[in-house]
Amino acid sequence: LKILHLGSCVIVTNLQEIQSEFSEIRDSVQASDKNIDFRILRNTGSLQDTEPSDRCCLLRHLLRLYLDRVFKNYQTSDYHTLRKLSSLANSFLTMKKDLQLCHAYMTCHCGEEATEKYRQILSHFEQLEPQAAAVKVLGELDILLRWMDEAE
Amino acid sequence: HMAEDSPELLQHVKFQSSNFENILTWDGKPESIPGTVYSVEYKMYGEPEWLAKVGCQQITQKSCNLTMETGNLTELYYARVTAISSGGWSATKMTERFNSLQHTTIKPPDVTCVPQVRSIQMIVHPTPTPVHTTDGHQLTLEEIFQDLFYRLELHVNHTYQMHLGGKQREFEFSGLTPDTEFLGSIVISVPTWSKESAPYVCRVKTLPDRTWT
Repeated sequence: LKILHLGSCVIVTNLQEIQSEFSEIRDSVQASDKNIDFRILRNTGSLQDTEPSDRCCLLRHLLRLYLDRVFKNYQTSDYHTLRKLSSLANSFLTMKKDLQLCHAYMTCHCGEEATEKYRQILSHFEQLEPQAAAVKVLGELDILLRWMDEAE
Repeated sequence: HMAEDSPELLQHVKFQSSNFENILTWDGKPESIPGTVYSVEYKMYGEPEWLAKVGCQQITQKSCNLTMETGNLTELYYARVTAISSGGWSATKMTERFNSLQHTTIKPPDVTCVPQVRSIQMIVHPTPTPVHTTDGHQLTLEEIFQDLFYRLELHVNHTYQMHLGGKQREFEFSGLTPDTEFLGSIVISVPTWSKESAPYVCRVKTLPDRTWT
């Protein structure tokens, strides 16, 4: 289990399990992303380079993006991939609920930095067709996991 | 004469990474046509340009060291190879998305096994990598992987093994019988990335007990 310190919001998550679930579908998902000249989760928007007090808000936005526009939109007929996506979505849902609690207890403040960084990520996301964007951002899940891992 | 595509000229273009030494390898057609030459390019995921790898242009061997070019642990990379046969056929193939943190395998540790009369010391030496910090400091595996630890096993006999483990570098198996041979095995483990090295094995004999002679 990994303790994520996101400013005054602290959540526990099983990052290693999420990493291992994703690693089973990573190569096939990334192979279906044909546009390798373009990246949505860029280092400039990374969680670990965000003010600690803004990290919870940024992560909350990112989890919602994955839940609402990636896991839902990703189309595949491959049963193994579908099962992994469902498991990943459940893990993200659990984390989102934990962050919701922080939000309820006023420890998940959305400052200017989080708002601007998420705005940029969303603008990159929306430059692509919904399905292409879902494929790309799902393929970049290892980037998000590393951000979370390094956001000590 | 325009080179035409001939995919079977080139197969299995991939990175082989071990302790962050990132080597691009590929296969030619089984009976590769003599005179086939290969050229390598690489790029960072998200960047538009491909960069030619100096030293791997029009080469005949089927590997190219891209350690320096793919050394940023937080970045993701692609590489591609173009093969051109003497008959003018060509093929280009690309790797999967590569990140050395994810893909590198761990080599067995470097260990010194020191026998005493009733114990065996095992000293694990730090493992340098080709990765450097921006200020030039060469990183070891231990510095790169925060949760890296060592797992040690001493085979006493067919049914009995002793186990030790931890992040420190010096270990000692004690309470052993003098003048007896033991088999030690040490692996490096990195849980976060589910990585584990092959074992370093040492066969060592405790010293004879000369106390009463």
